Amino acid sequence: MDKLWIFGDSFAVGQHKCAWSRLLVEHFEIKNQATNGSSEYRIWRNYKDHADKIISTDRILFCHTSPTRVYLKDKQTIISRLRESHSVCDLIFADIFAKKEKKFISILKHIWDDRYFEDTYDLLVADLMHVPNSIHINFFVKGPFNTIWTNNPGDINHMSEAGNRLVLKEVLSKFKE
Amino acid sequence: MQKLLDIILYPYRAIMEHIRFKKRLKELQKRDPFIYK
Repeated sequence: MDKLWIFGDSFAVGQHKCAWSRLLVEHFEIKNQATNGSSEYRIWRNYKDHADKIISTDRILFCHTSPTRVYLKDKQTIISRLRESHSVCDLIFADIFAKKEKKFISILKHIWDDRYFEDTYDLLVADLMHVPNSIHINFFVKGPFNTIWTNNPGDINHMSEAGNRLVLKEVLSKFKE
Repeated sequence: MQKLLDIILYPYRAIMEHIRFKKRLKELQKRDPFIYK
């Protein structure tokens, strides 16, 4: 059975038994490195940290995230990181503002620049696109995965059980392309 | 002259920038709506 490495955000974690990334176990030996609340930089870095363990016959799935997430170094504390499942989550605008994290609101206000964050995001994605044997999915851009998410909201990777099954089907078809 | 103008317009520019960011913020929150409970 081929080994499949998964790098991504909360859409790709395999905590729930019905998560699409877990259902792939019937087809691959899964090495899931996705973490909740990841920024694209964290996804890129996780891949780089594991690259030396990946061999040429392994498959890789990148579940890209939103360009609006801001990397936060590991030892910084934010309220969301107090949850065990989100111990290394990055800064998400909606989350930071909802929790009134004044320090980080101020930082985001001062550093946010549309072009800078979109350009650096594009560079990270472009670098990952060159990874051999890799497939790429994204729930934040218009396309099949975004449609599945918005039409099947739920608690398993932000989708219902049916939504997860649809993602599984779509992912498997991408491997056959 | 330009320096004087910059000083006079500073409060106006700061407020305008704040309004622009507030508007952009709503769009950014809509794009990535996750709030961890």
